[in-house]
Amino acid sequence: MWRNFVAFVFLSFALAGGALWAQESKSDRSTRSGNADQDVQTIKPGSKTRLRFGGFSVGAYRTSYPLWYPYYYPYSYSAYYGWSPYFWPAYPSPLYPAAYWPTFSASEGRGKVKFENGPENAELSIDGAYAGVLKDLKTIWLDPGAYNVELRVPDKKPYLKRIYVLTGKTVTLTPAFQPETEVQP
Amino acid sequence: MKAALTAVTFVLLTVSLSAGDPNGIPPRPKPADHQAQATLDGFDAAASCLTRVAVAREFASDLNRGYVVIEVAIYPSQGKSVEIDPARVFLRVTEDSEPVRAAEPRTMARSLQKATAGDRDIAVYPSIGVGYETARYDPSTGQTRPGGWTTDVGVGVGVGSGGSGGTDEDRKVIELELKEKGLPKGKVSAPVSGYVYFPAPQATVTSVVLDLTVGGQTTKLTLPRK
Repeated sequence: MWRNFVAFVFLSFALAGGALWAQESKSDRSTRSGNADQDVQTIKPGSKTRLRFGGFSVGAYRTSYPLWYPYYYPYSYSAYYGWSPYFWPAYPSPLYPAAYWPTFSASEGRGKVKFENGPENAELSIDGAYAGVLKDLKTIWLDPGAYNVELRVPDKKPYLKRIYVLTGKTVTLTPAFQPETEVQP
Repeated sequence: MKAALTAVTFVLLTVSLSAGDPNGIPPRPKPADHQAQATLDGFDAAASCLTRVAVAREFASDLNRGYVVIEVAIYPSQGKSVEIDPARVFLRVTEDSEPVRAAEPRTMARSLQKATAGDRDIAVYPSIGVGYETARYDPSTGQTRPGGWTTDVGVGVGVGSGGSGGTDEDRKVIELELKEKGLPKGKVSAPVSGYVYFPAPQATVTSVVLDLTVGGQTTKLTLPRK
């Protein structure tokens, strides 16, 4: 039954999220015509090159096939390659995208908002809508735009911040809470 | 009921019209908290030149690409009000040099978006494969091949345009942020503060002079550029 091919194991994982290492060749070349009579300054912002870690995949497989081999090679790849992750049962394999896609699917066209050092029980609201507790929302992805972020914890003044989210950029928030001032009778 | 609806409509209309208008930023407690300050008739004026680090921290977009950001604050005296117009704020490299007008958020957003869209994005994808074959016959060569362990190591490299902050939607957000944090225009009777953006002078320029005309009075503030 299993003479042509026995089994394969394909493991893939992706290390997601942003740039693990990024190098920027900063070449800010800005020139301007410093003339008061000219309303428009000629600005040539420098371009940047970002090097990032896209993902990492590991694969393992085991194949076995008999001494005979059909003449129609290479057109019948299934008999030759066996249970290839790339051609199983028909191209494309459901395992193939797993190696690459998770890295970027969450960030496609969105910006990242990261909360650092916030209390886990803080309740997060975005533009007035309740989003959840910080414990579950250390990192969130939002469409480009301006948002009013509010964090609430008991007996503290709410943390309010207006943020501007851009595609592929990260906004890091380190909320600090002040004690609620007591109202004097 | 009708009056309530009218009031709600008015409020909504006011809110929608005011979206994107300069709100400024919370002013520092006192003028002395700034790099430079001057006391004029009826108000105190103060200003600071933001460092590159502060600019990177304060703004979503990279304003360090060709701009210098000045934080301007006006502290009216008790019971006094003063008229502010950001268009009357100029920057000079030296006291005698030609004044440079502030940059427009719309123009800046377009420039920053264009610059970001031109970025290159190089992604690296390392991969490792380990396999075991019990193959005996290789039809491509006609030879019998022993089985055994095989390993694959590879690196995929993808080069594309940046895409970080380079979309049209991003441009609108950049413009909105620049506008909202800008120095408000109009008559104020309480302390106000906001940013004014200028094309960056050469990197060798270690200080700039802010030419500020507020309430019909002009003052010059020298700001160190760090």
